[in-house]
Amino acid sequence: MQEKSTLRRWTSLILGLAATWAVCFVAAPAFVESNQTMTRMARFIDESGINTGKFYYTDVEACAVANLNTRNTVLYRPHGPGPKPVD
Amino acid sequence: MAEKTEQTPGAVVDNAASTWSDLWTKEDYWAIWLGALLLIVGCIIFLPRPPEGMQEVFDKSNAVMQAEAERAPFKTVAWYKAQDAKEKFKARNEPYAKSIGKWLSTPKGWSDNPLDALYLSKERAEALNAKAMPKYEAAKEKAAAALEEALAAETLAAEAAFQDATLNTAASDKIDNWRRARNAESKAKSKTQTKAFNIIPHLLGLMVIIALFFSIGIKAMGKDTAGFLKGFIAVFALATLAYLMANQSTMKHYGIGDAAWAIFVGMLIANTIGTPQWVKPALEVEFYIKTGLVLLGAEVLFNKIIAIGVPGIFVAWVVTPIVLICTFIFGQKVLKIPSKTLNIVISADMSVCGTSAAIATAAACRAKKEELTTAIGLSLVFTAIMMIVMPMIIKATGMPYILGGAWMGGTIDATGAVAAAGAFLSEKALYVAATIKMIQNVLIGVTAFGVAVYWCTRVECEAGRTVGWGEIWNRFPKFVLGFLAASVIFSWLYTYLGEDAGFTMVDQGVLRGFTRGFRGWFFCLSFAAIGLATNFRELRHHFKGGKPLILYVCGQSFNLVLTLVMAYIMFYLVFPEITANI
Repeated sequence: MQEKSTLRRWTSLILGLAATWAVCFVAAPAFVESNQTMTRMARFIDESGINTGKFYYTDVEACAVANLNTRNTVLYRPHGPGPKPVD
Repeated sequence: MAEKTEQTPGAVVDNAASTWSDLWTKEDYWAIWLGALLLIVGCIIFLPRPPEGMQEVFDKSNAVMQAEAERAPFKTVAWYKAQDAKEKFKARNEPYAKSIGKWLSTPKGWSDNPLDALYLSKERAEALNAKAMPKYEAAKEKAAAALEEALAAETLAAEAAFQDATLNTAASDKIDNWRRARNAESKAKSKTQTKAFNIIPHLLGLMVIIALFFSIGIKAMGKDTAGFLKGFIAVFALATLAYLMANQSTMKHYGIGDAAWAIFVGMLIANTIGTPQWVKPALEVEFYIKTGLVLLGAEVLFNKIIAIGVPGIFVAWVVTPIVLICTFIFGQKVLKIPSKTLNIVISADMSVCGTSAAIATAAACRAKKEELTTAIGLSLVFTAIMMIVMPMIIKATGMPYILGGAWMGGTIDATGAVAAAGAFLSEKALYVAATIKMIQNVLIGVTAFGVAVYWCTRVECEAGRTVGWGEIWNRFPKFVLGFLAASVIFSWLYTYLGEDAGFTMVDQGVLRGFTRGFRGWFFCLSFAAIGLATNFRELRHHFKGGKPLILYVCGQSFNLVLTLVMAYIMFYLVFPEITANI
């Protein structure tokens, strides 16, 4: 197998980076803008500050808030006067 | 993970014996010692320093919530205010914790200029705060008005002794409006509190700290320490670039995180100019990932399983193992995927909780790094699609948002994407979605252990040969023990401290304030190393025939149907009273 020349290898890298730039900063935003649903979701993600790329619950602050709320809902479930209903 | 140069289907005979010297010469054990060191340091820093007045506020707030729960059949304003008071207590918000947090910083969010992620001047911060102020003032007024209306409606309902269902519903709706307005005010307020930053010195310092940290193990294992330290600069630089790209605003719209960027840029370099020889001693994929997994073990808190009661357990812990096992069998018997490790990693990725489950499973069954990359790539594509499509389907079909939230929580792979999709629908959908996903995250521990045991006892042995306990021990990936021990110890610690203090000091202290930062960096370093060591041709080979894609699509379709059915049964048929009060 022939070794690629240094020039060819660097050209490949630069082209790869250029293609990545084009996808990230031209194609991807254009695709979001072209679709109403995606535009709304994108705006929502920007405003909420949720980092959608995070994969574990301790990486996402919204999970902490959700945990607190659901835990308190289970422990202090509103039921009005009378005994708390049994699950 | 391992580079198997020879793989006879289903049979790897390993006659290596364990010795005491393994404790200071083997990578698995060093992952445990280094991970344990960070966990102990985190506990020493955070546990003796609870926020002032914490317990008094907890006791007072819990008493208020109890009293309000007995007074009214819906969550009152006072109930919510008591919860908000508890939420303010986070050990990681203490001054000492914030100083530590700076050193674990990753690049911040940016849009057009990547330098914005690394440096923000005082003047620019003040300008941004001033620009955000009018919106905050408006949101504050709106929240105040919504609170007045909520209190008025609640008073009306109270005057009818909470016996009038119409008044109760009206009050509950007004309180929901107030919560939405309050959340909007809170988000607007945070945009007026931007502080100047320069994280470059902190990044350089962190690079040195992590390099020295891992070099302890590298040296003890007799590897090239000087070479490691030199090559680590490049791996850390790539990990930093991955974080930088992941925090770009458009990338967040698609859910493309640092793991994907680290692998992609690493592969681009490796398959064009080639990974330089001087970097290769630092491509310690398994060392970084195993140490990260020991830290992740501490975040696997078994107490979280009951966060939303029995419905959550059924949706997360009954559906998930069924999908995992069924898709593994489907992959082996129907699709006939040659690599069992690829099969189980994809099954775990899709059925449990995405990338984190794929990492733990891949390490437990010693999958190839290309197999992990394949699983993560599939997960990424479908997560982006599901994050956008599922809320559309839920709205279009008129599905109740709590059911929709449970459905998304049990099926969308990445937790961040789950939170965004849930929050897009409503606050309640977010709470259910995020909680279900969190309960699934806890399943990683059981999955990793189960896969490790299954692989040692059934997969990695010759047909017809029984495996003794000694051999099981020899083959068992020891770092899994560290992972499980961290999980058990921290789950116990959480229980010992009590729910509220455990949440404040362990979850929002030791874990989110310290070890999570290191864990994130270790995984990113590992993915950068994977990228730099991956050959496109090897990766292409795993996609041959489209079997991984077919497995993922079929498995995820099954997951979607089963999760929806189970969520409906649990939340609407069996436990409607829990659903009514979320």
